[in-house]
Amino acid sequence: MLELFLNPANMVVGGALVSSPVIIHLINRMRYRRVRWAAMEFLLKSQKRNRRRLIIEQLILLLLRILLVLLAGLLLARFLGFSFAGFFQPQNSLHVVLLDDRLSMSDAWKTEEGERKNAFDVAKGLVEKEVARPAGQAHTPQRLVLLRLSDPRGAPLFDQRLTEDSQRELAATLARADECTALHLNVEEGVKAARELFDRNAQDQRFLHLVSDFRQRHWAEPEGAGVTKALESLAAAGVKVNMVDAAHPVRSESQKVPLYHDNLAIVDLRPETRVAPEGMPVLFTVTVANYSPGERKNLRVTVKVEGVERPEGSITILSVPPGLTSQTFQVAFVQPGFNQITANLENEEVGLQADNLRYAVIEVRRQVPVLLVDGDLTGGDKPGGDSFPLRTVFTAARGFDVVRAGVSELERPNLDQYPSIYLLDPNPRQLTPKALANLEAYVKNGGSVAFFLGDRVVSDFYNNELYKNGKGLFPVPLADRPTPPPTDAERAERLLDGQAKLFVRGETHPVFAEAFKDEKEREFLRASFRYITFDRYYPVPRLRWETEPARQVEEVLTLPNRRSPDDYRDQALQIRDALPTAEPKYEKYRARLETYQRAIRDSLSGKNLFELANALDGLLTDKGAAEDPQRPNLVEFWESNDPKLRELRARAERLRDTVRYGDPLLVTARYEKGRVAAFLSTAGTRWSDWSGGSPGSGTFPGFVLDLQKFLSSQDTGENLTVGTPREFTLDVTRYQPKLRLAYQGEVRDQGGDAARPPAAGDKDAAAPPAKPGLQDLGELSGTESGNLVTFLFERSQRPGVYYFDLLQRSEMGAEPKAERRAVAYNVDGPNESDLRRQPKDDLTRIAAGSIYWHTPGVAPPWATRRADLSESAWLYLVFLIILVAEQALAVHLSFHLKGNEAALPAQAVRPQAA
Amino acid sequence: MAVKADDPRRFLHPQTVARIARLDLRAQQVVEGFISGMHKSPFFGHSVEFVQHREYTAGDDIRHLDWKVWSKTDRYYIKQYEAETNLRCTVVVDVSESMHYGRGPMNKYAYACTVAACLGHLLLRQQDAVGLITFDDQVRQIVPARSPQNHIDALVGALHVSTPREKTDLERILKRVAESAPSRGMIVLISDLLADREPLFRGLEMLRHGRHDVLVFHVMDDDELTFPFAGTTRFEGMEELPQLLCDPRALRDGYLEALEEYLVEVRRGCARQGIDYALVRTGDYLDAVLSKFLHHRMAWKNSVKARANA
Repeated sequence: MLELFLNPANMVVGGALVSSPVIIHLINRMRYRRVRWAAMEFLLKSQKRNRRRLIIEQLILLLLRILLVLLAGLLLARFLGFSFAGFFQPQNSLHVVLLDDRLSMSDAWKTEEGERKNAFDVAKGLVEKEVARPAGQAHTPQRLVLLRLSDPRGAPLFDQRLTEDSQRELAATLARADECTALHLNVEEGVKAARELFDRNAQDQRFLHLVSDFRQRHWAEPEGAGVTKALESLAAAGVKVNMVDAAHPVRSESQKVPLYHDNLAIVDLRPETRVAPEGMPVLFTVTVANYSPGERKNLRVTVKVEGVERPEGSITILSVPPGLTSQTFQVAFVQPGFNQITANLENEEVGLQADNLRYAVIEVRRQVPVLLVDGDLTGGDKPGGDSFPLRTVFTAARGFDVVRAGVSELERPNLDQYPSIYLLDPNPRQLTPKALANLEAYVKNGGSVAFFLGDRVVSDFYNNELYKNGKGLFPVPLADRPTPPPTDAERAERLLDGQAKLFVRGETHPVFAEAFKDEKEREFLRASFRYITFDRYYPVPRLRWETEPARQVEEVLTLPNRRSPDDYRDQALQIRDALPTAEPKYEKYRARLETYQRAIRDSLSGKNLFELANALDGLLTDKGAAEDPQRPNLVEFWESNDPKLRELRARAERLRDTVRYGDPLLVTARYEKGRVAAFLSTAGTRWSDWSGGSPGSGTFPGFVLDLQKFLSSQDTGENLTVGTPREFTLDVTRYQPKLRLAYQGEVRDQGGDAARPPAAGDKDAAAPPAKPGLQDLGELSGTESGNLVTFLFERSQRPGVYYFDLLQRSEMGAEPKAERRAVAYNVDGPNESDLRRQPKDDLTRIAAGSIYWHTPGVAPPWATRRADLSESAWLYLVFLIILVAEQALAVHLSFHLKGNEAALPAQAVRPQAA
Repeated sequence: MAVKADDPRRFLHPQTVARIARLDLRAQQVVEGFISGMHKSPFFGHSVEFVQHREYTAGDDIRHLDWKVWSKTDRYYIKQYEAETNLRCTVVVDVSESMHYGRGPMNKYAYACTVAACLGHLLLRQQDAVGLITFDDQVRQIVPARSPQNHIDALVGALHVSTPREKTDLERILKRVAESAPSRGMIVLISDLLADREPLFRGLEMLRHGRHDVLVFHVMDDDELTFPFAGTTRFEGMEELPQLLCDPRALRDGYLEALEEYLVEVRRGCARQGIDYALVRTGDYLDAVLSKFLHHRMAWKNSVKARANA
């Protein structure tokens, strides 16, 4: 009932007042004058004669008075009239404004007046002018709650009833509001927070105002699925959603796809290694994303180290088509410690600015320590031993400090001083539980380990203690025993068969990606791999090989398939027989096809499946010789549109791929934050001649160095986006449970020689200058549990490099040693930099009927003034008529005195004495 | 209307009269005022009849000097008026509870007593015999008719009543009155007549059968005649009549209608009996009452003369 009135409180009071005439009448009946009357006879006669008329007149008068009070109540309460909508429409309104302050809202442009504006500025203006102002004009109480998407459950920026004063306060609050965050946020969380507010005010009319830029990236699948569901849930709860677009340019009805600003962003800046030796050039890969439909040319990327530009690193990307473009550059570091590297896109005025800058951090040491845990401390460092080739490579490469130790070294708590550890066929009996636990913790925290196997391997140990059905450190299960050593004849045959002894399965894998970029290099490697022999290795029972996607297990190197072709004989013969050698249209290829038919047949009589793979590969990839008609290009043959031929080709390719590759030789995987590589043969020459003694041995050092880079490199897991929590666990016996935090953002160009770090080898160099722009962020306390202390860092709100200064525990009286770690945080370019906008139809379709698309200048439904009865002249006329009638009847019924009538005194009239 | 200090009628205005506490003095003032005003008032024609002249002696009222005789004879003679020495008047005054209503200067009871006292004074001045009977539910006081001047004291004293009671049967009362006045005379009834009409008329008839000349002064208060009340009022009936809580304005018309019916009935009833009836309001000047009385007295005297001559 109360919703029928604009001022329901007045009607409640008015309703109570309706009974006032009755109450007054009853009170008057109790308050009367007393008159001792002699001529009662006539009075009684009169009363008897007029009784009925009097009662009716009194009732009419009472009703008129009640009606007057009722009309007065309706007038004051502003009766809206009866309507079904009015029955169910509450009058108080709650407006929750969700102000999008994500990075994409910092999309900037220059106005016609030359003023620089961004979408967030526009959004704040829209909140004030297009949301708060129309709502404030409504005649019912309007409460507005302003939430930032970056902190929807925190204290609202504004939470008041809208009045003139409070709207001014809102304007001031918006003016003071901080700029956009660098975070990537999901609207879903904001909508859920709004839902909680709405649930607490279920009796009000509720509106959600989404003031955002409505980027396609945020609203389309998969990220948009959650917010779509949340909005549908809101609509089902009766909440109206108003979408207010703050992006530029303003949407036009005639455009199906809204316009957006072009934007380029650096989405990745990655060094090939996270720990680099002093003075050694480090290769960086910078990836630029072009989120515009057109190509950009001559894009300049400025590279700085600690705020000082490095011209040798700064590059110009000649062409950046839509999509991702990567380019590399090299920078050498001479300043030990953590070095901040930034890559900045120059001359990008429009779009987002924050994504034009990317941070990376690299640790520079005078020499990078590498731990070789050799199972044979005595002979491993001699030619043929496992340590010998590795130490030789690292020593020759310089910048590495090779530490060779036994298995017991793994029990020491300070493994994390080594960016990478090589386990060279260790004795399993020496791998104590403590050593294993230490090793696992080391890898989990970001360390990397490479396993090289040998004859000391006990497969059960590796399977049970290290592989653990795919959950352990070791990425593959091992067969019960290694392959038996070949006979001399077999070895000689293999050496001379020209078959590739090693297949690179992961040509894009970091270990081989760089080498395989160059075609010549690639061919050289392939050619070299024909002359390497692997006498023994540990096979991997593929049927028992379980992998989890999170482990990112990758088979990098594979040995040729030396199994018997018997299992694939039938398939191979079917393919052979299906070749259309009799068809006239393929007459040109007939001779060559028949050659390969024979090759397939011959391979089936061989001992190794790789021979069948070679035949099938030749059949599929033979380009022939242009000048030799006997050698037509079979690649053209397979590109025919004949569906039968296409199907045959697919079968041949599948069979080739299946039978080509044998057991894996090198498998890499992730193990939480760290990396693991498993080389299933020896590092030394006990089982293979790759590290020495073969024509292909020249490829080994490059492989080792690339493997080292891979093991110690940072991947996207370490390249964090702002807002991502970072946790690391340390040995509480070694480290104090507190650390000091510091932040280094963009360092403005230090410029000048004075700002440059001292040159390498300059012994007279002053002490390393303090890091420019470093801000202290206070302490961070860790949580101790057993022997471990875990630090959880959640304060990365800005892009930059965050430093964690740990204090090692020291002996009594000794100065504790500081140890620094650093992580680079960057904006979430892929999710925020793409400024394409979601079409309006897709947005309003989410919860049809409950979504209102805000049109500037058009009053929204909740601002519509509802007319009430007080605006009707008829009400006043009726009021007047009833008033006149009441007064007339009151006079008639003696409720008002005439001029010649006197009211009796209140006391009873006493008889007068004679 | 305010009574002027030099207005000879000032002693006839109820407001002025009410201020005179003692009834005998009040009656004297009224009568004196009445008589002195007779020459100037329109009621002059109702004076006492002239009989003869006698020679002026010192002390006589020079107002009675006959100047026509002096112009003819050059001697001073005064006029002598006829004295009704045989008038025997009984004033019957209602002193019941209902007579004690009145909001004006005088209530009905005070007014009636004043009228009775005035009549007594006037009659005694004329050397007529005046008696008094007061009644409520029964005869309260009987003062035999006498003519000495100081009889006024007995009359005034009998008019005082301590606890007024309701009227019951007027017929019985009037019968008692008739018994107390065996010889023919004048009966003046001063009452509000708020009682059953039939017994009243039977009583009055009884008096007429006794060949009495009856004059009824129907005394009613202005309020009773106009019913000016407004606002919720509880009317508590006097003389054990029921009470009524009502809005007076709503009942006014009906009340006046019933009152009019009652007055018409009483007037007709009196007319049927040959009884002279006068409705007297407590707000009226007393000279009207006295004039009425004198007029009636002259009519009585003429009738007596006519019988005597017959």
